[in-house]
Amino acid sequence: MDADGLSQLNADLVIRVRGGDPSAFDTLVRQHYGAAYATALAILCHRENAEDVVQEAFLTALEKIDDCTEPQRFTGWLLQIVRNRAKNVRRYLHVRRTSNVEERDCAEEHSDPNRRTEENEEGERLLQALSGLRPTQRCIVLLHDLEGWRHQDIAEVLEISPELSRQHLFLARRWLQAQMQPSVSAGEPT
Amino acid sequence: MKNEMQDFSSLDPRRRPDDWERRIRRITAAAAAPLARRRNVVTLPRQLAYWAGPVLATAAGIAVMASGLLLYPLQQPVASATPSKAQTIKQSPTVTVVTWAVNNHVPNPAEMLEINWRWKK
Repeated sequence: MDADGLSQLNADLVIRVRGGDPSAFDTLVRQHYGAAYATALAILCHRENAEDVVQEAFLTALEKIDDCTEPQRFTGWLLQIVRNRAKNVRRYLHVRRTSNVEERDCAEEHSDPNRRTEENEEGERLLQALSGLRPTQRCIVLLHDLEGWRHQDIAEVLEISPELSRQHLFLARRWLQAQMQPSVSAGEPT
Repeated sequence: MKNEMQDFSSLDPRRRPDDWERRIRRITAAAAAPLARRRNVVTLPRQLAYWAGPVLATAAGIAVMASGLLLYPLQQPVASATPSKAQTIKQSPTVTVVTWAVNNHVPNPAEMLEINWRWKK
């Protein structure tokens, strides 16, 4: 489906959700969960917190769905809620961590030992590598390489130019490749 | 160094279908109550939509009855524009002449004589 078709589908779903249609809300969640999770993960670098933020963002979106004046641009509107919510959580966690000597912008803190599988270890390594990037770069690389978004769509949501999105992706990939090979040092991303 | 796409599949929430469904259900379950409230909320458009059916049915019934009442008199035999001689005799001379004028009735000599006679009477 092309971008216009998707926008129209979003608009129809939003109108149905306003009327309280559970199946429309379910479809809306399934369609946008990936992008919302990638955005929250880019800001928090913490899977459980990102999951909580996404849930709260969807519920906030439902509560305020009458304020979504352009239903065909629901995706951007939802991701703005996700970003705001994730930044609030990050700020809250930062305040809680101020007593710690070592502060990291982004750190994975697993509390559930059952989730420490091989797959999770790989995820942790990735999150650790991502933590060296700026939140915008993390968001771009996750939306592009994980969710398959086009630079045009990323640029619209993040309110930057598609060229800048490409540039950030290039730098982020270079940084990640270097970080995922422990013997090679890539220096700080610019 | 090549600028290749990084494999993020270990962070993909759809990687494990059961975990994916759990995440979706967690959100939809929490949204059930707000959605139910939205379904039950009374808004003007919804009220209009709710009442539109009965109101239109009633209006259609009234329209059928009204049109029946309006059409009924047209099916009655139309009274003769020209009063009969017996009617003319019963009426007063003034009424008779006015009736002739309204109906564009040209009286014949016998009727003229009759009226004249009654007037004098």
